[in-house]
Amino acid sequence: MKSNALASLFTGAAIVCALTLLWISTRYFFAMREMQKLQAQYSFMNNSRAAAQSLANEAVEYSKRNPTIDPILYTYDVKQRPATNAPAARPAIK
Amino acid sequence: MNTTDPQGDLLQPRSSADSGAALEQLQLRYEQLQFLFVVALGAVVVMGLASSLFMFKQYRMVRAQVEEQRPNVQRMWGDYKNTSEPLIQKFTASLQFFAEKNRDFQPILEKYHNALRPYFGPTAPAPSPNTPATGR
Repeated sequence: MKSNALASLFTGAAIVCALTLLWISTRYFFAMREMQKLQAQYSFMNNSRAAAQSLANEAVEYSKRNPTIDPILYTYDVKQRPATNAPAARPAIK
Repeated sequence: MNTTDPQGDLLQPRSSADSGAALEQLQLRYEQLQFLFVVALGAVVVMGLASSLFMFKQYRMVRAQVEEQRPNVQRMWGDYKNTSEPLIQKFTASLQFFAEKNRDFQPILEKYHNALRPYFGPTAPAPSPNTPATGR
């Protein structure tokens, strides 16, 4: 009789544990999904900026061979205009 | 062992002393089995509690990270959308336009086509001489 009561108690506790675990796992899943989304946004921004900066650098290198690209580079402040006395060039694409 | 009738000996008439001993033995085994069942159930409960605790701690950790990162990433994303993205878009469009007239710039632009795919306009850059033309 005592064993039966204990078995019932443990069965109830096991069911409660399983339901709790299910609930926590669901919340964990959604939290992880949100974190992955934030990380994806962050890496997309970083990658795009890095690629744009690298493209700008290559365009500056290219401008040494073909100066016809210079107006574009001046427009986006990628390359310093020769007439200005501004200090060091700052990258426009941040 | 009689394989044709495994329970045959149970059906045979026995003396009351024999059946009493067998009943006691059955009772003993039943209690042992019940004890084992309760112990196993207890182990399941302990494992369930430990798993729930572990998952809860993991969840709390991830939640804290999300709460910490969300405002920063959202602010950065807003800045990016308002300032960097239009600039990158215009810059790549200008370079694309330039590359249409200066074919020697095309390979440089082509290198960044995958990384900056969302910002390239509909006019696809011409394939480099080494790559075979696809049938599109």
